Amino acid sequence: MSHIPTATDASDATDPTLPARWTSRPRRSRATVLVAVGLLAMYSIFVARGAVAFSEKRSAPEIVPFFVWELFSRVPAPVQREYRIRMTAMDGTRLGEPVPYEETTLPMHQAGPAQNIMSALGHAYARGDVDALATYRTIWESRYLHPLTSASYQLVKVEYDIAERYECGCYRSETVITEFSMGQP
Amino acid sequence: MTASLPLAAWRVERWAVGRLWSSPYDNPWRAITSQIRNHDRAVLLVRVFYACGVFLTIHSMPDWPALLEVEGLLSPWPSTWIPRDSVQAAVPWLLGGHLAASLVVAAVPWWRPARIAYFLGLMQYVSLISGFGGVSHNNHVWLWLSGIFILLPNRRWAGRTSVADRRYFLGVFWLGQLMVLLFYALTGFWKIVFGLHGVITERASSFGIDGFSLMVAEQQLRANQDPLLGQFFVDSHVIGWAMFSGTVYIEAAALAVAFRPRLHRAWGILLIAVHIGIELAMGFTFLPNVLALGIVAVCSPLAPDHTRVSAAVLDLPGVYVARRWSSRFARQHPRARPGAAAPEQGCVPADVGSSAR
Repeated sequence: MSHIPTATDASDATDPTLPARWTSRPRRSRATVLVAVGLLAMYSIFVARGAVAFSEKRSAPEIVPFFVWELFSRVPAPVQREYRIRMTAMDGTRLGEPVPYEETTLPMHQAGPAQNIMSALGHAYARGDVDALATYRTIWESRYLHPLTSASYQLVKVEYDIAERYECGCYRSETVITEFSMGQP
Repeated sequence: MTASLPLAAWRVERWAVGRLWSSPYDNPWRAITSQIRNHDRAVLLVRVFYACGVFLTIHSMPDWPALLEVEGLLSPWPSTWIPRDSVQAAVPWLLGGHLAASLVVAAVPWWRPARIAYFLGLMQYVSLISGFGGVSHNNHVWLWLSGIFILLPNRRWAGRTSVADRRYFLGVFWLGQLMVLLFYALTGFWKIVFGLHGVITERASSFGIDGFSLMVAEQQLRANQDPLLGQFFVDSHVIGWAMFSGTVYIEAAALAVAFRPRLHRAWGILLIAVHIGIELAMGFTFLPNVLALGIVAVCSPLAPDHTRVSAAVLDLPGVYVARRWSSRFARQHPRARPGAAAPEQGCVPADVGSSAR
């Protein structure tokens, strides 16, 4: 039979300021309530920080595994401006037309974080941050271009209206920023 | 000072129990009988949880060959120990450890070191797959549950147990339910916040008729997906708006449902239906979340076997508050409502003290 803690196990068991209905409970049960309240308090602080960040138009702070759980809550602006990647050569074969990365058959072509890395690549290039660009390219090429052994790709800045593009697949403007080859500076 | 934390916890609990809890267990003897049944069910569900953990690990394995070849990493803090110049050397150990811990904890879930190892292994895995441009939230619910289940007793769960043992086990399980439902409540909370913000600032709002359609269209374009009902939701603004509004209620009310055992199963099904809707409209789902909902909500050990629909309806968030207010109003103004019935029992704090919680 396992040991069942009693009220006398806890330091607060004899505290006269605490109600008897609390101190008469086993220590473990009190600990569970403390953990629950503690977690809720921590999450409340975290969500408050998220609210402050959103009010300042920043992304919410995230410390794994704490997350503010803001998902599918914002309606995108009708006109989008973003950086995209287009493949121009794959495994030594030059493609006739540049192919948007998300239209390739690569295993990660629909991954959400791939969009983030495209955006990070574009912004790093725009501000001339060579170190960040190298880091993002390493991640891009080793993670999102797997299993290609060689490839060339364009960094493109696009602008489109969601409704227009949904109907015709067209962009309002497309500007090729630069072109990279896998594994080459 | 040392007593301030317990005192605060006691006050929060008393408030939550007094204002939020509603349970059919009002008879102590019935509650203890139920506790034995509930405890046995909770033990089985925790075993199922860790068995499903093995399934999820195996389910992620097709991506492992690609993970073994990554060269760069932008890791969150749990994986900062991995040297940037030797990611490929560390990843096999990390994945192997995660797989081994999954298997061991499924075999001996009552052994706390195994549960700790599984939690740490999963944390490392989540951190690894979050190092390529964005944190993966797919496993967060599962990770939290595995962290909370560490608190379960470190001894064999079969055999004779005392009331205190069972109450503790069920308390930890309920804590897991609370956290899972809190996460859904937060997603609902932000939908309300940003929806109202859009309305106030006269920008696009998710409460607008075409708000959800725009979200679906943008998601499809971004990832080049063609989900089963994507086109339908882009075209059918009103249906999309109605389903989105229903989702907001289901999610935002989830935290209160943690305190209403009669609604656990229904809300589990509804939240899984939300995931099915996301899959149909946007083309992706959170598989571990669906499994977690099935385990902690649909199969909730605290849910009564038989629930009258009328009692469950009275527990609905919103309806419950209205019922409390009307009862209070009837007590304060007896002449205004001469035929008013006495407040229904079932939301009394005594439920908690004696019941499975």
